[in-house]
Amino acid sequence: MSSINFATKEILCKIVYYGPALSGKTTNLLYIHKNIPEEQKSQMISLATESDRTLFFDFLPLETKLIGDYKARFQLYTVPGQVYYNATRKLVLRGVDGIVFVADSQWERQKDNVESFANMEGNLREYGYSLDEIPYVLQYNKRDLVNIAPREYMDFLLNRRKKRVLVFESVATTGIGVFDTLNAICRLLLAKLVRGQLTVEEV
Amino acid sequence: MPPERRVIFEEEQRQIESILRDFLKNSEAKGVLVVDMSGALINGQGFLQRFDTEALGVLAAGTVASTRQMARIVGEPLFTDLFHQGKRSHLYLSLIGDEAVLVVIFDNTTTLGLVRLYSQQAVKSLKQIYAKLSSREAQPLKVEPSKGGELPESIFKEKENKDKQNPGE
Repeated sequence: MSSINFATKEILCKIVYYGPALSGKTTNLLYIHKNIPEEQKSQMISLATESDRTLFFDFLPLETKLIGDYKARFQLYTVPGQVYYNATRKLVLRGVDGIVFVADSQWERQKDNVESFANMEGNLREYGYSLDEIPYVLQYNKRDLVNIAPREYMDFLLNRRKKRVLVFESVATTGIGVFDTLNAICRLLLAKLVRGQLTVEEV
Repeated sequence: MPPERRVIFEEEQRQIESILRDFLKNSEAKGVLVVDMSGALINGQGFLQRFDTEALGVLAAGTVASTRQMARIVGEPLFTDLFHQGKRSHLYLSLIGDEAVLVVIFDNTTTLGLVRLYSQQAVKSLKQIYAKLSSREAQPLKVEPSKGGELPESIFKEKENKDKQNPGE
């Protein structure tokens, strides 16, 4: 649920990084946290298990002066990717404004990508949300590995809804594509908030 | 149904502020926040400078969400009040209907009973404000292009990365 606070002149949006286990969601946030100017970020919170796997969520708030006198705050969350954590995944999706779906490019993970995408659609549906209304982008991560599926094949699997969305190829560990993805989803959200509904092509 | 959008106007913000100030005066708590269910901080009063209130808000919303599921498992619709006891500092969370959470930070200079009592009163008043907000129409934000209404290409710019590995070095 985005909120506009006319008293503090603040727009607040919630962005969730979704995707299968070990696809690089937390790595995206860590890279952003490390490489964004100090004045635009706060502390990153990770609720992780001892083995550093996300248990509940990771959280990173970002801020930018942007529209007129208004400040925009983006709260970045990740969900735990493991299949058995669906209850917590669903909780994190509550009130979501925009989604980055982080897919693992390796051949053997394509099935997990598809299952995770379907799981996301199902969880959104339970809140009465739909991908027709929530802005989202796709990130094909780990493009530096050798055993990866071609982009076209991943498009065929994941970007097959009526409205095609923006896709970013990335290597989250070194930061390739990470900021492009972040900026794309932020632009989609702000455009939607400021001008009303816009389609991807118009942004 | 598209996700809801919450708009807070100055008038309501002032009312929330005044309720929270009264609450602090009566309960003698250290600080108090109103946080919405997605973790967004709506208002905070008291001695909050040394706390990361945004993080506290997000974690409080997360706690409420997970406790709600725990309640279901044991056959309760929800737990409306949560108390986290520490040695010196304590937290008291109270649901403001389905809309938001009141987060109270207090220490041993006051008592849980007092905090609970005045929380109930504050929650009652805050619920009325939220009921009023829900009836207001959410309008798109109007920004004149001359005031910087155009969206820049990159909203967040990456720092010059000195750490980036250069294989040549």
